[in-house]
Amino acid sequence: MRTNLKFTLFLLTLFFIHLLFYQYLALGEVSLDLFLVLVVYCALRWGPVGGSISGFICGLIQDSFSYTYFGLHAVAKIVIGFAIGKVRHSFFSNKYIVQATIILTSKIFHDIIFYSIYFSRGEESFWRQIIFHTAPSAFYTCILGVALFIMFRFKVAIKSW
Amino acid sequence: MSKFFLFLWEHRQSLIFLLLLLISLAVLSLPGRQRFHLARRINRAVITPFQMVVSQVDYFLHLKKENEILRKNNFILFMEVSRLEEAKKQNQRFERLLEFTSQTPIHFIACKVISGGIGEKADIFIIDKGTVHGVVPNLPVLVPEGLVGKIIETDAKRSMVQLYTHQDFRVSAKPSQKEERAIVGSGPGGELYLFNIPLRTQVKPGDLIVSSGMGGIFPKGIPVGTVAELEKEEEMEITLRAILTPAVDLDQVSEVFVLADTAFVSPKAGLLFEASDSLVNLWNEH
Repeated sequence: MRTNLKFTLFLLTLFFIHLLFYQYLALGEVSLDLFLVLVVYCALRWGPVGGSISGFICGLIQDSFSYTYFGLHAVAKIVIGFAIGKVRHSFFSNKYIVQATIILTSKIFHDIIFYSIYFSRGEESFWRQIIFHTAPSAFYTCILGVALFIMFRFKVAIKSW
Repeated sequence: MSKFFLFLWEHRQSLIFLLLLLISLAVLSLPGRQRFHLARRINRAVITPFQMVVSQVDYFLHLKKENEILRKNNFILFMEVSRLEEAKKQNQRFERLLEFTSQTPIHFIACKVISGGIGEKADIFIIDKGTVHGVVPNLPVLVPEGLVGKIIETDAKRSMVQLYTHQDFRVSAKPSQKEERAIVGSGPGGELYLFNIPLRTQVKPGDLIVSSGMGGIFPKGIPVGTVAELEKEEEMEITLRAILTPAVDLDQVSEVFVLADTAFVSPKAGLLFEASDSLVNLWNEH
């Protein structure tokens, strides 16, 4: 019961920190995606359904600032949420380094999906974006995501839907 | 029938995933107007109320520091105004002598950016002034460095700004020292281009591109960007396009000015001041 409460508080913290302080926490071009961390932990706990639904909601909220590509964050986050939920049993552990790796990899794959659609009609360098924007943002997101997880001090119990 | 439901239940995870993915893809391919309304609803319901609170807290935290700076600036400006008053009187005397007609004054409404997005590649801003302050759709939005975008939607107390990175954004522009008009627009990756430049052009890298005053929304002389590179347009190789380095770095923008029509400006606007062609000249010099 206490773990459930802590987990809910953790998810709400991620949600509100991202929603309210996104611009304040950005380090120049390096941005933070705590919504993705939220999707990852939902997928780890509740599997593909939890991952997909949280990805859909968080993605659409992020998309409300991007009229040109409204729906793109949602697509990327649904795929990531579903994929992590599907394979979570084979690699998940409560070790911080494992969680950091999961977040880091998720962010990279998320941005690959996002920018491969975003740049599909343009000539801007996709790889330039991945190397100079995604890579540092992924490190930043995984460090802050895991730091927040450590602050709450609980273990993620895997549940099936 | 029961087999069908059993099949659905067994594959519920994949079905939910596919359903959500299809909804997202459908949203992504919606016509512009419908997509806009949907995004606006989510934005108003979920994001803006929270971000307005944070914006206000941030505003009060910086108020004391800002007040000190403003007092200093106020004194400097007071001295400057006295000097300019004299110059204005002198100018009016000269105008009368030369029979010049005075220019219509331009009014600015100072606005704070409440929110500039919470994800990658946002192309709108929410600002804290709306219809009660005189902000109406299609007014230009600027910062001292140059063009930011235009108002696309207004509430009573807040408005949405379409940024120059938005794919539908277009402005008639020209090099500041030449009379070669072209169109500035955004590419799919949010990059700025000057389109439809004839092959025999005088435009060259390093040229400052400013709004041309055609099109009825943006006045003449607002910096849009600097020409970084010229290349042939893909579809029609008979014209060139220039890649522009934007005059304004949108990541650094926290306050903007809405260039308001005199008739709409109300006394509730946070800051209101007159400018004239001298401002355009200042921009040109800048």
